[in-house]
This record gives sequence, structure tokens and C-alpha cells, in this order.
Amino acid sequence: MMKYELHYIPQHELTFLSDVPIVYHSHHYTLFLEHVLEDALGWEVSFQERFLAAREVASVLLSGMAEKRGLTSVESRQLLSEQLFAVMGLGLLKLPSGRHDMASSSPSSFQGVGWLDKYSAALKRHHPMDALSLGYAAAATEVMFDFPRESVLGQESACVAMGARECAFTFHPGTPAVRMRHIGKRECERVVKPSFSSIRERDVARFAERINRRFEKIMPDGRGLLSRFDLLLSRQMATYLSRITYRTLDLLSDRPEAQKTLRSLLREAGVIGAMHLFGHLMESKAWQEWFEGFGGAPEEVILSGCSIGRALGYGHWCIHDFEPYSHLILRTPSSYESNYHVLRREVAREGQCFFFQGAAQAIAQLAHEVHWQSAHDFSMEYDRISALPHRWSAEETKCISCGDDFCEVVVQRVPHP
Amino acid sequence: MSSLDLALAIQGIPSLRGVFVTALPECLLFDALLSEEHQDTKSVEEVAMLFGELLQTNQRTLQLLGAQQPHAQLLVEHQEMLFCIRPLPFQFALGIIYEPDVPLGLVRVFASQIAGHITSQLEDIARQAGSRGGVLLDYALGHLPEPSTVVRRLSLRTGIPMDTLHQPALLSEKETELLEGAVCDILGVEHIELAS
Repeated sequence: MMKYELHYIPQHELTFLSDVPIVYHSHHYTLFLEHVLEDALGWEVSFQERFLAAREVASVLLSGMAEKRGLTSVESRQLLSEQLFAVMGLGLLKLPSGRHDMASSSPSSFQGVGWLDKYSAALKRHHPMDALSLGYAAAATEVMFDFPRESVLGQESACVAMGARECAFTFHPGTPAVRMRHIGKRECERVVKPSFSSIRERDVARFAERINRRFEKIMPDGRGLLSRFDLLLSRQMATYLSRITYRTLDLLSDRPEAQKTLRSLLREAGVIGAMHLFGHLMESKAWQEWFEGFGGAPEEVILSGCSIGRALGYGHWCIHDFEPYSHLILRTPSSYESNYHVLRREVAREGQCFFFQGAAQAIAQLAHEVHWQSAHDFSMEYDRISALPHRWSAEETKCISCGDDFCEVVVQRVPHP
Repeated sequence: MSSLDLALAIQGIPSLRGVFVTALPECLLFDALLSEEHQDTKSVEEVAMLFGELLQTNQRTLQLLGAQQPHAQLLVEHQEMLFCIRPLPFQFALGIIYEPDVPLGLVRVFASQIAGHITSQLEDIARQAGSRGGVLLDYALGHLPEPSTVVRRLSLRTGIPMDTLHQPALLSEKETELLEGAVCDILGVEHIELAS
């Protein structure tokens, strides 16, 4: 199914499902990101913003696919929406059975199962958290019953993260939202910059293609989840992630100190996400097949990290410079973050590719701070590396969102003072 | 927060009508003690407020006059009473009302003694409040996931600047409450049982 709907921008490693940009992320990234957004805005506002973002992008995705396939019946659109939810690794979704019984549920969702796995030992939740599934299900309801796009409102009345057996959603018709500028393949092609090559380009490209091919073959398990490499993976709607990130920054515009703290935490979400995803991947048995003779030397890890970044749809990541135990410079002529920013926002004054910043830092840390010959729990590794007396800092020195011709992140080792 | 022991602070000092401690800059009554004959003094809160405002007005005046060190004691002589107002650490003002016949030299000596006692008590309170902030932060670092992000997350939730959170002894009572609320919210608990 995925194979028929995927489109690419060559030389940029950007992937589109139907006409929606998608990227792979694990639950470690999305959950930490959403916790941080909740810290910034409080639960209620943050949940609403995430719901609106998910509904917007899922609406584009589902209506586009239903139209392209010529699906006209409620049943066929329902089947498409439920199947696609699972193919994206977002879980199992039972959509409303009729226009007058607008209730939906998810016995296993990426967000809910992920939260239980990552946080339930330490935290308890008293508020629902699965705004992503709610927004997707609201959009599916619109498509199934021909409601205007971005008009159905919803509530999550039970949540597995709060101890319920399944997440339960209810919907009711509302007023259509003002449409935001569409971000599709054609729009992104207009804003990406001329591509360029990496140090060891042939190896990076070869590994990236190999990894991407394997990832596209990953299919959901019985829970509708992409459970691989000791992680929950998902094919995330990139516009959803970007919209909630930048919208939260906007809502803090009258609190510059809080904005600064949020930027730092958004970068940290990238560190956490990449350290888990890239780390687990490089440690897997599959990696030994994909990267013959991988031994964990810093150069190998940097090469691997750059290849993974490309393979998972983050952009055409290139190693521009690398000096072991000193610095790493990554560049890209586009990223899902810069595409969103350029298409929907004003020119920025500082780097806006927070995931790129954090992931570059994580790659440098994985290259220098992990002993690859022994087994790892990367949750522990993240905490251990974060507590080391020396630090790795990442700074985005060029950004397409600021008008530059590429995005560049400089990662440096900062000695203990 | 613990309260002051003003009776202890004025022990052995004669001819006092009352002592007021005012929290600045809002000029709110923090604590007061009146002698038995003056227990019926009306508007204790208002007196405390005016003492605070007088001190702040005096400080602003000194600043306008170019004084390098604007912290001064204000002494008011009246045929029916004497009173002096002086600043205390941690943003407090101390107002002392004496009987009118106390020699001015002794007024200053007594004021200095009382201020010394109260300063010491305020330091104890600040240490306790500070230690509560510190204990809370230690608890958060020990119990919340991804400890390296905890201070930033708490700063984002509470609005307390990162620099302040790095020195929890400087947290005010209100900030300490905010911090506790944020830690509880993230953990999903009603309250936290702290060791101290």
C-alpha cells in the first residue's frame, strides 16, 4: 500500500505520502516533544493545538487519497483511514459507524502504548494525551461523512496513558477552520536549495538507500504498531510536528526567556530522539548486515548517522567537516523543518531546525561517548552521557529559514571548565 | 513559612510601643508586636504599609540626591512618640515605635539590636525556605525522567528563570509553591512526601 502512494524529491531525501511530507520518528522523540510543549502551554492549550494540527494534516492526507482512489462510500473511506493509521504505525483505530454515532476508539495507539512504555514507571497522567489520534480520527470522520474539511471537533474521553483499556474519542460538527497554506511536494520543490555532496558521498548515499528500502518494508504488527529495533517507530506527518513546534513558540512570544528555554528543549528533543533511534538502529543485528564490519569507530558512526538521517526523510544530510573529538559539521540543502518554516512563516533571525540541531549533536555523542562493543539501554545512555563533565554543543550557524542557501549545524566538544 | 519571634527580638529593651516588619516592595505587613498598652492600635496593616512606603520614599529621595548608598535609617521625632524605620535584608523594613522620652542615642542602639535579632531570624527562615526549594529540586532530579532536562522543563512550566532555579535558596515562598506544583503536575501526584 505504501509503495503506491509514496513520492520523493530526488537529491533531497524528502518523502511524501500522497501529498503529505512524512518522516520516521520513534516514540522517544514525539513523546518528549509533546511533554515539552505541554510544559510551555499547559495541558489544555497544548492538547488543542496538537489536535488542530493533526486534524489539518490528516484531512489533507485522507481526502487526497480518497479522491485519488475514487472512494465514494463511507465503508471504503473508513477502511482506507483505518488501514492507513496502522500503516503509519499510529495504531489500531475504530472509526464511527454512523453519522449520528460519532464515537471512535483506539485499543492500541503509538502515543498511548509509547507513553506506557517510556513513562508509566515514573509518571502518572491525569489528562488525556492522544491528540494526534483524536485529530486523525476527526479528519477521517470528515472524509467518511462528507463534513467540511477541518470542521469536526473532538474530545478524548478515555486514554490508555491514564489507565483506560482503550482511548475513546467523541466528535461533533463545528465550524470549519481557516485553511493554512498547503505544504505538498510541489510547494517544497519550490523552496529547497540546490543540492550538494557529502564527504564520502557514495557511501552515505549507498547506506541511506539500503536503510530506506528496509524501512519502507516495515509493516505494522497486530496492534497497528511498527515495533522494531526495541522501539516503536512511526511514519509521522512532518507538517504536524512542525506546526505544533512553531505554533508553541509563537504563543510564547511575550515570554522571551521562556521561548529561549523552549528552543533549547526542542533541540534536546532532537538529541533524545536521535540518540534512541540512531543508537538502537546501529546496535541492531540488522545494522551489521547493512553496514558490513561496523565496529563503532567515530568515523563509522558519523557516516551511519548521516545515512540514517537521509533514509528516514529528514533531508539530504551531508558531512561537511569532521575532526574526531573536536567537531562535526553537518549541512543540508533542505529539511522538513526548513520547508515548513519557509512556506508558512516569516524569515527567521536564528536557526529553526531544532531536530536537525539535536540529531547532529546526538550523532557526535554516539560517535564518541558510546562503547559499541557492549549492549546498551539508550535511555540510560542518554542520562549517562548528559551527566558527563564535558559537553557537546550544537549551533545552527546557517538556516534556510533565515535566507541562507543551506542549513548548517556545528557540533563542538566543550571541555569541562 | 515560619514566622518571626518578635518577643525574643525585643527582649530586655524598654520603652517600646511596637515593632513592625513590612515586606517590600509591596509594603505588606509581615509581622508586628505591640506593647500591652497599645494592643488596641488600629490599622496595624496600614501602619506597616506606610512604614514601608516611607522607607522606600526615603531611599528614592537619597538616590535622586546622588547618594551612593541609599539604605538609611529614618528617625521621626514627635512630642508624643518617636519612631524609626530601617531596612532589613531580604526586602523587609523594620519600624519601631518608642515612648517619647527615650534618648535618641539609645533609640539608635536599640534599633540596631532589634534589627540584628530579626535579621538573624530572617536568615533562618530564608535558609529553611531555600532548603525546601533545594530539596524539591533534588527530588525532581531524582524522580523525573531525563534529569538533564528537568531544570529547563520546570523553568518553562513555572516561569521561574533558570538562574534562580540553579540557586534554590533564593526562591521565594511563592516560587517554592510554584515549583512544588510543577513537580507534582509532571509526576501526576497530589503532593510530594519530602524527607525534610
